[in-house]
Amino acid sequence: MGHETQHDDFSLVREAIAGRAEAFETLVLRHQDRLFGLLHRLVGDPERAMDLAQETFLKAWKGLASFQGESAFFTWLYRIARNVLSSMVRYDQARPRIRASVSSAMDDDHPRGDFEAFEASPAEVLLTAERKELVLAAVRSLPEEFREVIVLRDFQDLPYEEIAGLLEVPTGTVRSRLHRARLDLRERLKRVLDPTAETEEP
Amino acid sequence: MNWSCRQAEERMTDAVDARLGESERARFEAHVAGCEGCRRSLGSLRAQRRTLLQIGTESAPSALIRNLRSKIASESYLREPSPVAGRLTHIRRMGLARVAAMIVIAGLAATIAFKEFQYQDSARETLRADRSKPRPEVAVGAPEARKTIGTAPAPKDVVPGEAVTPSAVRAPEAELAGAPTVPAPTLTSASQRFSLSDPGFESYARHVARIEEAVLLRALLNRDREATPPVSDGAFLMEEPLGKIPSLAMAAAAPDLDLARLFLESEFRRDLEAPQLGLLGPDVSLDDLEKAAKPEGEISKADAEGAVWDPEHPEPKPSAVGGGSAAPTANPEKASAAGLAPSSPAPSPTPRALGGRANPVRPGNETPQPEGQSPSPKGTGRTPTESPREIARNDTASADSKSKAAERKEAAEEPRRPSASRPRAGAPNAKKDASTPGIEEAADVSPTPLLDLGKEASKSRRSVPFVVAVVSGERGLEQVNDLLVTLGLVPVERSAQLAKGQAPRTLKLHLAREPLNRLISGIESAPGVLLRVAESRPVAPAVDFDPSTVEPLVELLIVVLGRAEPGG
Repeated sequence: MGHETQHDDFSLVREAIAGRAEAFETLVLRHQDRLFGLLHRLVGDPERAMDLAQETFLKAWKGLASFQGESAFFTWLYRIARNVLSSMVRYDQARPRIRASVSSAMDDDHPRGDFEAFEASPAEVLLTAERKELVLAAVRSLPEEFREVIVLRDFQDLPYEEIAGLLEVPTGTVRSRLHRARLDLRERLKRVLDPTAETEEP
Repeated sequence: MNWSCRQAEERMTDAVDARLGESERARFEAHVAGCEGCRRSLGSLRAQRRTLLQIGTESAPSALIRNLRSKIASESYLREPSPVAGRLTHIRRMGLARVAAMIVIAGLAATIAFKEFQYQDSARETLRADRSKPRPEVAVGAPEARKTIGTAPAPKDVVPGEAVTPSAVRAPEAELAGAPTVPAPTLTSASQRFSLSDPGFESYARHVARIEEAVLLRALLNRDREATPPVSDGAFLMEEPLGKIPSLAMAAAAPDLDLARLFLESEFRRDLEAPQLGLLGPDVSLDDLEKAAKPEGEISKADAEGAVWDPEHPEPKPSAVGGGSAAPTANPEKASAAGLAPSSPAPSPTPRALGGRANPVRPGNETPQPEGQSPSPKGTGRTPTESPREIARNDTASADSKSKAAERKEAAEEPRRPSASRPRAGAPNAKKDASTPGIEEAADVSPTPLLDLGKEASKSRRSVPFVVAVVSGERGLEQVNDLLVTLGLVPVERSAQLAKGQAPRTLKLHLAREPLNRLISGIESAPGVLLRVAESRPVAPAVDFDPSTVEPLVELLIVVLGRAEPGG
């Protein structure tokens, strides 16, 4: 996010605090797609993602006065979202849930071996709904730490530096985490998309 | 020197993201050109990234902004600055000097309040001293002591010969007529023990729910902030509507913290265990409470029959002498006058011993009740179908015309029912609960601040109005869950998590006014759910803040009475 936008965000925050309602709504409209998209990819459920996004914006509104412009508004917003998300995860852990997983998706309805080897012509072919769902399921099956960095980098195409800001970790950590996450995801996708393929050792 | 596969693998992500420096890129490419495995690995990672980018992320559904608007704009959320922002703005606008001045005023107010405590303690000591004197058959405080406490309006005349109402026991004649004495446990001054940092309170709060509920309970005890100029715009007045929870209303109105705690106990007793009774002090046990709640051994059989609410008989049995107007002393004013308050928690909200006996009383203050007539919505002029909200409205509208005595009588009758055996809405006795008498009286008494807790309350509550709904046990919670789902207030999945056995004992929601009203209406009409609704309103701020134009979301606190059912 450019410096100008960031400055605009800060101005909007100040205006919202001063009572100009449209300013806050502008902030919501400006960031809702990005926030919702992230949350959707992280939790995998659009309704839940919308719930989380809504809760995040409400919390942001309530705490608007605490935003000092030291970071980008979206960074601040994302930190709120992470807190909301972790609260929800803790809440979920109170009871066992059936979570969608790669294996369950494969075991149920999706035939194995119908897909080309992932590295052969994966991105160029049109993603079928089934294929897309399998890829997303594989992403969701990643450990949370990996999933988050994959979503931020490979779905949202954020630069390392911004990811580091969002996750509050050094850029080097982002790099190493992303590397391990990609390798992990590749193995999972291999098993899903081409179960006959052997694990690749370079 | 050529890189090894390991070195190339370490740079694979950098290569995918084109983050390699010039020299590194040359070495990497040199290795990949000669290594089939690394070439395939790089290709797969690049393809993977392209795929994920192609999937990308989706735009927010239009429902998101729509829901946000409906949630906050409908409550003027977007039309006005947030409460926090507003407060900060006020502080800036006011300037440090004014803030400092307010702090000084607050300090003075706190000092005055503290003096008042000391004064009340002094009054309690007087009462204790009075009780310790060999005063035959009199278990009441001296009239001057009551006056010192200053919370109970002086009793007016009561028509001689009329059937006595519970509150008639305040009359000295009743006291002298031989009301049995309920032995009071020896307690140190409650107000000395009960402080903001009281570990007993924290323990209690943890058990009941969380610290937020502790703040709520503190706020309940602090309902009299109206009597002092608010120094914070976040303090709450827990006044009239709070009376919809009789025992909490009594707690709020109690002139004495011992009694206040006792009333709270009567509401939450079943959630308590002995170790959590630190709130009451080390010298009071659960047994003491039980004894205090059912002092049958201290009273005549006839009085006891009239005093103990019998779930098998919807209407309370008329007292043998009192014409059905059983005389609970749950009303702190009465308890105080009867000498049970302020220092003794043993006299419970139900000490039948204090009333129910027909004593000639002076006219005027009490509304005579026909012999044998049991308290009922009819007696209150309410219809059995009135919702608490309607009742609140009606009560407000008719407050002037309604005699205080009649209200006082209603208030006295309610807490006679042990909380554990109160009828639930929808049950045969539901109409009695629906009427929830005792509100007006609770709001009228005790103008003296008990604790300066407004700041505590404001920390977590700010100016958000909140509603407390008390439901009965797991069944009540389940029905609330169903309603939440039906009304689309929470997703099915989340509601399911609140289901039996896993539910918190309290549930807090932030709702806009309109869905909140729908929820409450739904709960009111749901069978088997006991609902006590109490609603706060924010105190008008001291400076430059108009709460009438700022109505943020309403916080709904659902309190589930009773323990979790085994195996739930």
